[in-house]
Amino acid sequence: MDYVLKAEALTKIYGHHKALDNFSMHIPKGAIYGLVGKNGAGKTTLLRLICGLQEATSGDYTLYGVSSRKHEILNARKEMGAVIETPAIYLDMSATGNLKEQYRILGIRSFDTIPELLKMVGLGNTGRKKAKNFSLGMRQRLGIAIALVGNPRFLVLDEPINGLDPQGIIEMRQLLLNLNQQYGMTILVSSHILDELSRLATHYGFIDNGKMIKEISASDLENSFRKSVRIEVTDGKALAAVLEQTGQPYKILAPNVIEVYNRVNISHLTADLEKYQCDVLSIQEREENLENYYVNLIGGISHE
Amino acid sequence: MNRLFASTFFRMLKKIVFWILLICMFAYGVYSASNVASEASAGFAIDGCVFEFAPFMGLVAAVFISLFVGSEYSDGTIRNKLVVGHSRMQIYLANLIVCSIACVLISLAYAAGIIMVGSSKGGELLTETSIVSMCLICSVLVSIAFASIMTMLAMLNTNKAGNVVVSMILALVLLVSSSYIYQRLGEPEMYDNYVSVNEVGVPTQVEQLPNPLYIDGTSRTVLEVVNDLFPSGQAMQLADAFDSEGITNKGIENDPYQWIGYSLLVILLTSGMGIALFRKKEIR
Repeated sequence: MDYVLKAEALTKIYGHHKALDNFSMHIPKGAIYGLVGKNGAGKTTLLRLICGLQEATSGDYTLYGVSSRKHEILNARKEMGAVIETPAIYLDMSATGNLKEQYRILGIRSFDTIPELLKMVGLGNTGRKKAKNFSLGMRQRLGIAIALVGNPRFLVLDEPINGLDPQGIIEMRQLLLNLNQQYGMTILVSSHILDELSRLATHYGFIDNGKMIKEISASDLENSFRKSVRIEVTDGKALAAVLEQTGQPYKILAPNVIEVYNRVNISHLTADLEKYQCDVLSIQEREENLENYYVNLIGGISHE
Repeated sequence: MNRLFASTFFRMLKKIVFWILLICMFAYGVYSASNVASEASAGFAIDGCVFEFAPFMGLVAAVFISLFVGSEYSDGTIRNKLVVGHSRMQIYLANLIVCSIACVLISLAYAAGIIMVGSSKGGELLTETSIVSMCLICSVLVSIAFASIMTMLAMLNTNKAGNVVVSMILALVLLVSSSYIYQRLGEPEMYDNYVSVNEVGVPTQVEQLPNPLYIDGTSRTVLEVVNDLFPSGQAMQLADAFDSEGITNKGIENDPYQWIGYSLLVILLTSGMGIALFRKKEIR
């Protein structure tokens, strides 16, 4: 498989804190790679290293097969665009002015494609309005437009839907899918909004405490989602005791609500609960989603 | 490198602070020349005010560069350059060159003010053109040396507001310390002590006494080197080198290449150190 980015044993230490610890990652060409992790897990540190803002303490990564330790990495980065943390824009310039700057930085002489680019990110009507007067969402869009200058083959986005309104989120999703599907752009997206990420990503990487916990493709992830039954009863302790006796895997969601990860024989269960004078209030069949998967993988109370 | 230079240069032209400083320096040149012109009845020498701007270049560089380069960090746009594969040395040099050009243009705006008033009111240069040209080269290098020091500070300090304060303080410290050193070095070795005077107050017996404020020996040599090495020291001497009768500081006339050498040394040292530290800098 062709990889745009491969990281091996990447470690980054700030003082006494290990932000990345022996971190490994593999982003296939043409993927939308969702990087998932809680605050402080090391996502932004990783993006900073990839973009050349900081150097790893040890370990290495390759971009298009070029090692980060080699000088040629600078050439490999020419095919890259990124928005890390806050959008990097000159606040005293208009959207067009900001894009012109980036065109000059990349040595693109003609500004003809600027209106098209602005239209693509939904900033076609900003005119001479300065970026300091933009809303957070507009700044985010402008940051992405700047990252798209020069048609990069690899796009790195840190929380790209931060500050966007619902319509903006839909447009951004469409834009990223379009860039990926029509132009074959590989996209690395870090996000906390798992529901949104699950509509985009073709691959996932789960990071915690600076370590890669798991890398999985979206199709494999979907196959691994477990079916479950959510049961609400009048006495949660009684239900837990019955499930323990029958050896069913379960998770307590609330004092009287339990999720069981197995097929449940309802007749037997109600009969068993009868002995504890416990009533069943409701039963729902459910399928696991990215959020459940993430919580199970990274942490949470579980009795499996 | 050319791409970065073009981008940084266009950005400089759009900076309001650059145009404000340019206009202020031009106005100061007009004011200085007009002052000299108003004191002379006909045909006056503009030599005395040609380099009066030099001591202020430290402050000008501090204000402009801390705001111009600082916005790369405060707006985060330095990341856009690194992400697309520009090396840190290229980014540093592009900023240094553009800031140097800006400082030189601002100092030339002062000269333009002097020339405008001088030519319209019949002012002229008494000093030989070759000497004035050499002093002009020295003043340009002083401006670049100031730019080089302030660029180093701005590229290494990610806090824009903090860097404005630090740069201004440094510029003031350099100005005040160089002024003090220049003043102490200008103290005469001996002074006249009037032993007796006649009835109309004219001294009849004068004896020469050693001046306790005069600095000699190694201390003098060190202070002279410091005064010539620091751009603020050169700026003070340049500003005071001419009067209405032409050049008064024979040091510049005799050995201008030493000044040029010192300025180049400051530029190379600060830029070399700045680039080395910037290459290791962690950017957020």
